Amino acid sequence: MTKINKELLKGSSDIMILKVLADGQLYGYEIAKRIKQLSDDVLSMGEGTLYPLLHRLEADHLLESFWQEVGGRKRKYYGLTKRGKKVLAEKTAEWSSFTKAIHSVIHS
Amino acid sequence: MYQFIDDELSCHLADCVDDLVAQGASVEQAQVEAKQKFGDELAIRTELKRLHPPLLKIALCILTGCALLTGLALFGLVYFKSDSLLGITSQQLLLRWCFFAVIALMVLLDYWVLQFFGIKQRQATVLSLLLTELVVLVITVVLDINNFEVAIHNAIFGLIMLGAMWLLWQHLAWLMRRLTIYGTSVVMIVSAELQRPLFNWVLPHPCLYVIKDDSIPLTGALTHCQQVQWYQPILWLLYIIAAVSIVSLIGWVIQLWRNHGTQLSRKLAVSISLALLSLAPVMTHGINNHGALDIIPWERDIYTAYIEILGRAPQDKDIQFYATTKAYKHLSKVKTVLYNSPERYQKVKQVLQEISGKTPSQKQINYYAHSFMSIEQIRQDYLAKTKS
Repeated sequence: MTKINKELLKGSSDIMILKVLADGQLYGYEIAKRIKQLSDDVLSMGEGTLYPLLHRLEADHLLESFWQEVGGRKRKYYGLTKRGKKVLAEKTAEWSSFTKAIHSVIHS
Repeated sequence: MYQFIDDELSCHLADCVDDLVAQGASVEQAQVEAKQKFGDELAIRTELKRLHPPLLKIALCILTGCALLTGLALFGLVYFKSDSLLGITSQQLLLRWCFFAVIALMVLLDYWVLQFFGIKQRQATVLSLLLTELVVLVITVVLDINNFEVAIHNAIFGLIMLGAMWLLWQHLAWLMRRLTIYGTSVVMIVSAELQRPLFNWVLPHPCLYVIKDDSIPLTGALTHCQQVQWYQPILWLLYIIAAVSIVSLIGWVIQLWRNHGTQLSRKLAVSISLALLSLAPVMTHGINNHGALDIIPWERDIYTAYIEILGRAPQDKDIQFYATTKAYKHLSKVKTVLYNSPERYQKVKQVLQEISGKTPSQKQINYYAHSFMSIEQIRQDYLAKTKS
């Protein structure tokens, strides 16, 4: 498995979280698992990155949350707000342009 | 104050342990490995706490503390100064305090219901509105045990809101769902506390008076009401809602106690709140059969009238008289009766005699008794005349 530089991961963490939550509401542990699963184990978001980012995105009103008591545990589920969906679309377009440009330079 | 951070991170660790156990590790091994994978727990908690400054929570704590102290102070004044104007005014303020406290408690119970079931679940809305309906019924019984038109209006309003939310559920954002639930509860509780029916312009008989025996004629302020037997169909809606609410809430409390994830303080608070709600009609039974709560907003005026006109505070039997007859609604007539009463005549005679040291003439007594001067004004005026 190729080890990815943490600096590269930093700039893409928020778009990954927004994208994963676009498919439905998930709680923190599920979000980390989904990112790992969708990236074929290449990308792994640690708890030290994940939770502060979730809370920051919620404070910026890109995410909203609710608690639910399930099987004796209190789980905090996150979902995208309307603003979050809009920002995801913008960031996805931005990321596509960026990766296309990088790809063009590297493979020229 | 940061329990919500601990809950979230604990849940993550527990889920990680479960996954590792499912993969074949023992529970002890899974716990060690999960903690290692988690990393520096303290650093993560510190970072999350930094993102959530406690100012709002501290402000909320201070506000709650002040509200509780205010309630306690008012209760103390009512209890120890019941015969004074201060005590009577405090009684009015305490009633208002209780109204706001019930609204705050209702919103808090709704919040706990939503937290337990999650805002995704329609069940949360149903239980929340059932809880509100039950509180409305309790308030109706406590404030005026026989007049149920407000409870019927609220029941219909609650069902309309529930139906609307049910149909529009998928189209409502989470925040909108919460605000609708809280808003509906507040509207219904305020309507019950002020005894203002919500649909008075629609329902043809705005005032219902529930009785057990239809041979008693309604008199006084109740003559415009319609007598309704307790078993008549118009009240069945309330009985059904009450029965469904009680069963649902008992079910929720049982679920709450069985849920290991819920804090003990929350379990106790919900249980005690619901128990007090159930006991409130029993504890206040008989108080408002004699209009004792209805008269509170008027007691200050009656007290002032008695002090001015008769030079004494109203006795308990006087207050009971006004409460049962609702004569306080015609305060000017009450004052006229007091001005012309034999008691005023005797009081004026006593005051004039105390000042002059001799029996006053009939003319003097009549002059002051039939004037609209207060006893204190009579005292000052006669004193000035006597000195000059």
